[in-house]
Amino acid sequence: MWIVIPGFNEARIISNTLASVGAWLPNVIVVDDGSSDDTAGQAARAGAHVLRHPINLGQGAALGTGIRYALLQQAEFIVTFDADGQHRPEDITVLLEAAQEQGADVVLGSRFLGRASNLPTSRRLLLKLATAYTRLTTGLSLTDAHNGLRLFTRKAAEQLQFRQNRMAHASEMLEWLGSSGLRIFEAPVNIVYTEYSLAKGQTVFSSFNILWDLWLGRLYQ
Amino acid sequence: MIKLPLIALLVFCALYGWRQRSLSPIVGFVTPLTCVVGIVLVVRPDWSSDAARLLGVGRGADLVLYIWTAITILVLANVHFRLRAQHAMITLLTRQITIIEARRPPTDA
Repeated sequence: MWIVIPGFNEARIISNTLASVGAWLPNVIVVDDGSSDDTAGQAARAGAHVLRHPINLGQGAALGTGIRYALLQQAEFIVTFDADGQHRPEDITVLLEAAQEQGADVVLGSRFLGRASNLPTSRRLLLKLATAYTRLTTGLSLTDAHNGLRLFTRKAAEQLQFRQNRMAHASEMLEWLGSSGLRIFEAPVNIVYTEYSLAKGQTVFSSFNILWDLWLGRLYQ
Repeated sequence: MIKLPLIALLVFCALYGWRQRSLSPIVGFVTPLTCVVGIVLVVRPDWSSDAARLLGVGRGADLVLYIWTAITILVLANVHFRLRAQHAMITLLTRQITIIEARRPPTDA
């Protein structure tokens, strides 16, 4: 089991995040996406594997790099986990159990099956709209979209390809999952929003950017 | 006198667009088609006036200008797609370098 944590300028919080997943060390990979702060240094001192993009490419690209590296380490299960401290480490076990008990290839964490603490109403509405869009475009009956806590089996991770480097990767991945034939399950997870994680999260404006990237991506081969 | 350079330019654009079809089929087929229409209208401006009247544009010259604008937009779109393709290659290259230079924990080295 390997955990992939993409991060960009997360020096303020990455040590705490890595301490929270300490039980999984050293099978934790931090992908520093070209940060200008000491994210990579702090992650290395905490005992994680550290991959550092020499330039900033985006979260999708960072996840792609981390997953590729995990596969090279012969990972059988790969969990993606946000760096900003909003995910709970015990939910990793929830995803793993769901994968093993249900025989799933991909387990997506759902904050709406679990709990989302301190989630502002505007963000809740945005997430609900994103979920409705995902249902419409992928045919997947999901309760949540764009949740960074996910589990991939080796089989799924080997097939996964991110063409969208930035935040549109989450929608792109769900579209791909909808037609992949893989067994996909959702598991309840709890997310605790903090001032820090909310500042790092998506806004209505960035949602338009995501849609723009997705639609442009469809024109491109 | 201006017809020949205009036609040459449109032929150049048509060939350029056609060469891009492997990268973007939309640009590869729509650009040459638009250029051919443009060439026809340069050769037979009276047709452009007829077409303009038919389309409710007004003057034939305006119609040609609009077609040229459309071609410009398509070429710009193609440049955008090329940049995306370059960016995808940069991503792959960066990923390879990053993995080669991975820092492993001391106990795992």
